[in-house]
Amino acid sequence: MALRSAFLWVGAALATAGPVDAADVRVEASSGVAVREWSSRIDRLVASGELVVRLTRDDTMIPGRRHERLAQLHRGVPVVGGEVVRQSDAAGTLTVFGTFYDAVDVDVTPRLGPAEAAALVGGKGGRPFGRQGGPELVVLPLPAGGYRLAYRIRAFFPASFDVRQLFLDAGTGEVLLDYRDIQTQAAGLGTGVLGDAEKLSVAPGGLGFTTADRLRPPLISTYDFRFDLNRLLLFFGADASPSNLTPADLGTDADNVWTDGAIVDAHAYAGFVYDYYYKRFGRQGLDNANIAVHSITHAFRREDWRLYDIGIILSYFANAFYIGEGVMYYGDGLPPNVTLDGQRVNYLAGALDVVAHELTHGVTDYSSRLIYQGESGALNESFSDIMGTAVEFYFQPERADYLEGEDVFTPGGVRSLQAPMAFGDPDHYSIRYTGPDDNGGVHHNSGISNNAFYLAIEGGRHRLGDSVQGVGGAHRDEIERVFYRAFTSFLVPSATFSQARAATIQAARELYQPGSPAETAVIQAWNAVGVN
Amino acid sequence: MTRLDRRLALGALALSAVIASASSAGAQGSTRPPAPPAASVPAPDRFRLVLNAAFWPTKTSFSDSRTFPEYAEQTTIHSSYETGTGFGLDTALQVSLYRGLGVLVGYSRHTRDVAGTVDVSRPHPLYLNQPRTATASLSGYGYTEGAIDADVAFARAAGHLDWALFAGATFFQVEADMLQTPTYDEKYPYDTLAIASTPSTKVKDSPVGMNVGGRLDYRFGSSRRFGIGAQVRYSRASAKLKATPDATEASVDAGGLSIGAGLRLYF
Repeated sequence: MALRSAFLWVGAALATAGPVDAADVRVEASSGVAVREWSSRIDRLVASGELVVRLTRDDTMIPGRRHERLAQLHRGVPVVGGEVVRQSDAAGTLTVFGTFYDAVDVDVTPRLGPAEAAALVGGKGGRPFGRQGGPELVVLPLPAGGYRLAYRIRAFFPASFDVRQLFLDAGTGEVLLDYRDIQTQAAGLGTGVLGDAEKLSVAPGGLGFTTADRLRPPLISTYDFRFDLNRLLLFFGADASPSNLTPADLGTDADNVWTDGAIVDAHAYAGFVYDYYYKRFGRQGLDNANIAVHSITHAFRREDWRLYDIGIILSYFANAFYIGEGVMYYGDGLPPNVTLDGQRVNYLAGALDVVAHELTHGVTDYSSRLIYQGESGALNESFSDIMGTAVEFYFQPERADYLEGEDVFTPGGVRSLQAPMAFGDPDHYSIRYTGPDDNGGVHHNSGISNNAFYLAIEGGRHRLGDSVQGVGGAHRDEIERVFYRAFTSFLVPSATFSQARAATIQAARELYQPGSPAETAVIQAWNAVGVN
Repeated sequence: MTRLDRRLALGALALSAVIASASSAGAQGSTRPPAPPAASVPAPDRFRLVLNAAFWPTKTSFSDSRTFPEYAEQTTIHSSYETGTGFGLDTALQVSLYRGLGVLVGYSRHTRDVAGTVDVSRPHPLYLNQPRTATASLSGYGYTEGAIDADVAFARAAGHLDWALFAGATFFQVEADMLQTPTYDEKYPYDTLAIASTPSTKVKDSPVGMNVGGRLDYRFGSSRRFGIGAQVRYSRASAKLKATPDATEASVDAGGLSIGAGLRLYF
């Protein structure tokens, strides 16, 4: 079977066009001809049912523009990673980004039924989880070439408290692809209480006040599971749907003087993140349609850490993660006298960059849907790190830095955008991690684009020698807008670093003109980290 | 000044003109024999009834402020007011008891328009230490002042002229429109604040003060029962107005200089 994965980048600003390698055809056009050709092709593919509009949004950064996300179908079955993004204005199509798989010839009649697929996962101790749990019949492009009809199942495994994305061959039940689907902050151990004074938007209730913020456009609720593990299991068992969170789970306080730091920060910082996206980009929440945000705290008592294996500790104590559908989980960390890899871990909700990082996974979920594996997974993580840092500079400028999680993983945090190598993460594409761990190194290779973001703002000389003329901290908003626009409007689920480079350059040109300091900084930054 | 006050004041002036005209016509157009010389008919001067249209030219200003908790911090509202000039009625009955010395009881009432501004500092509902500020004009507000004067008066008549001096206590009734609680136009992200409306509440006080003044009249005709005259009075008291329980008291200088003119009846 001939595989032709057409990685598109069609924009009027680029100067060359041509194939990159045998499998991926990268299109770059210097005139509007290619744009028009691809736009016409998209229209034909929509008419033939090979593309379907998944999402249409007005541009919140450049008035008058719209962005369409079109998902690829093969005889009505979604093709994993097949998606194009078309940007248009009143005059017509401006850009097309994406990946479209040609010559898919898979028979879409499965031998296994969805119930059988679910049963196979059940045999492994898992069950479909959440509204996007599936089983969903999909066409899966294989890394080695070719396609396979498969069931995609997002499953919760109670024994390990794990959430995984599995792709089962729809004919044989063979597991074709399996990766962890908890998009996490990296783990560590920490200590301390930050003691920040925060204002909380709460709701008066019969016995005092509850952590329900109705001042912001979406409802932002923070829940206190009161160390009731059964409550957490019940929640996960009910598909982790926010509809299974009840007012009785909300944080409460009798006198409205809140002293529970984890609840205070989870609640306040979720609001900050919403505010940042709105004020900086005009985005209305994770889905840009004001989906409610739900934050869960106090599921595990930190003093009970000895009762659990290291996997549970790393996932549910020393971790925070985005569950989906606007639901966040924040671990309580570990007791102050416990360290992990030399670090103490405080309440995860206590770090604004961690909260912003995790909620940004929600933004990604509702925009590019970057697949949480390989380069796209690294970009997914990187975008969360970038936005985490951006929110920190916006709301806590007096103590902001380019470290991730430094407020709760002490000393030092868990990653650095400025010096990824300090944490063992690559800062150059040439030394990227290519092994199987960590979903292909999503928390490691994120250092490459993280460092590009840092250099585009601060400038300086990369460790390997390239110099970058950054826009400077006073103009950091420009680079933040460039990365936001690229990652939410131009990238598609299977995006690569190279696509991220092209997308950010395009965004810089659109927002700040070709030749602008922002565009120059972005180009030089990607060059410096070896992404071309 | 209310519409009623204005009508009464204009009526008083018109009536004054009519009486003056009638008095003059009676003196010149009568076919009856000429009246005896004025000096031969003692002027009736035991009672003097005074009806003036009066003008209060001085403006007065006052202010208040309030601080109260809102959004877990403190909201501060500072209101300042300035009245316009006033226009109203002033009446009095003066009784001479001994050699022109007597008592006077008067009542006056006037209204003034009030202009003002309100400055608000209101906490941000979502962030600490980031108050928003807004300023608005206060319009449509009014100020009404009634005063009862209880004076010692001295009056004298000389020919057609009649004059009086008086001084005593004044019992004021002050009623002012003051800002109640503003309403706001604010929406997410709440970074700016606009005042949507400035509803008022009527606030009253009844201070006691003093007054002093004088009057000069011209009495018409041979009977000299009617006349016209002018009056100047200065009165003063300090009213304390409290718009809301959490507001500071606004100290208002009631009274002031008033200048009036109008009709006189002597009997």
